[in-house]
Amino acid sequence: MSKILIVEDYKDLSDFYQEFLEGDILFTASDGETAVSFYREYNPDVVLMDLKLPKKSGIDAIKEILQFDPKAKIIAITAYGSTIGSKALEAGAKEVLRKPIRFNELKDIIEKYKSY
Amino acid sequence: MISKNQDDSFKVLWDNTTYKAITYYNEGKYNEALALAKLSIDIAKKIYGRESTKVAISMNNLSLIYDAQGKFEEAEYLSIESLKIWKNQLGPDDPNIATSLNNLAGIYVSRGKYKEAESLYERSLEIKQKVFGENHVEIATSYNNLADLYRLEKKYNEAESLYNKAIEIFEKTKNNKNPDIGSSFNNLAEILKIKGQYDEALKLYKKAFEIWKTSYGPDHPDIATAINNIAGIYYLEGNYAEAEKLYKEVLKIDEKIYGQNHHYNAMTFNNIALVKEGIGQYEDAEKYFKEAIEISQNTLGKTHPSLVIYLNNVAGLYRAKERYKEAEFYFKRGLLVLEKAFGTSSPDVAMALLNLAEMYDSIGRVEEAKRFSESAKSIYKKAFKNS
Repeated sequence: MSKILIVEDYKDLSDFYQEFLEGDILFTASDGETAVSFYREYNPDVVLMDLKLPKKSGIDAIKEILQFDPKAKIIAITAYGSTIGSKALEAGAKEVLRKPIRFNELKDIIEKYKSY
Repeated sequence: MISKNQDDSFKVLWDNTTYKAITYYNEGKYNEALALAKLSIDIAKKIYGRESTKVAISMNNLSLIYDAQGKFEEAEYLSIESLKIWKNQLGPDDPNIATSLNNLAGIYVSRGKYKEAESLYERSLEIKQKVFGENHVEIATSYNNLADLYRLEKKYNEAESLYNKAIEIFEKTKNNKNPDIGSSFNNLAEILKIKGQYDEALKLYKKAFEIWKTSYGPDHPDIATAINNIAGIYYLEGNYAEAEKLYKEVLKIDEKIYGQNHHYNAMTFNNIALVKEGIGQYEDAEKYFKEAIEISQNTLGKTHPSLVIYLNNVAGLYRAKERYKEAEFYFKRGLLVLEKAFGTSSPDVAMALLNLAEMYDSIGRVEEAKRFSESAKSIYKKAFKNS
């Protein structure tokens, strides 16, 4: 069983991910600050990180998490195109998914990063 | 009764039909290959007998063609029948059996029966090791096949170790230019990319490119794949100028091979658009996304799921630029395609509805946000209940 940290400020979407990822141990955060502190506390295997977040942006959260743990596997998610997506990659995200994400794509990508 | 002369001419006919069937198969002309492969089975049965190894060869060829056509049940049946003949005629440890097991394993991979495939690949490897010893190109090919399977199963560490073993054997046996070592490099690079080792992945993708270029020449689908993979790493590393240049090369090769109106070009236009958007050239990005939409619609139709990627990407661009009406239009078109392709109660439809709900919420259209969100919830509650 893997630990997944979901960082999403739109509650309905966060609920959807939780329903969808049943079977793994899930932690949810709705802002960048909480995301960083949850990462430090729970050391999840994979992070799903929305990029537009209150308190601390997804990009800054990615940078901080990677400073703490350079091996962190962070998948960035955005509805705002590849300009912000490129910044997430520069910050060290493994991949960027654009919303709306396809069900199987999400499943596949999480499995991929859980596997090593 | 067949006379000696007739017998000889039938044998020549079997040789010719078998050779041509395989040639057509290699050229991707499956219908032509199919007719000849069926004919060669009939001839083999008549001349050599139902249990002859010639029948096994012909059956195996037909099974490969069915596999390529996606007719996996027929492929599996023929492959098993062929294997039975090989075993009866040659005993359990003949190299032909190893090849036959390998082909059947390939069919199981196509059908998603990974466990069955794994045990057949292992058995095939065992036979080859007995016959050829460890340092033989056949062993390297077997390691490659097993590694590909592990990669599909996301057992990346096991796959990585087998690709490395395969490469070592290819190199020891002086098969440095064999296209299969190109595949080992390429597929090992895929794993290193997943692990975030982009520099190493890039080196290997480039090696694969060089080998395939020597083997296949510059205008081959595998060359386009290799360049596309290299471009992907440049994109991930933020080297957008190089990524764009290479995606445009991919486009040139694919246009030569498949013509201008092919769905592969749609994906490449999409990739160029992502690069353009990444560097803030929004008008160009918009143009390329729309080109991708146009080609995808023309080649795969207006309800093919691939279209959704491009519709959503251009919608995301509009959303980022706060052009909400256009964003809404394209997101909704994406939603419609998903509904047509997968039905209105698919989890993908729920995701698309939630995405629209989130956008409405962010621009203060609260009622619409609620409505779309409720629709999404009712879909995924049902979907997860039934799963």
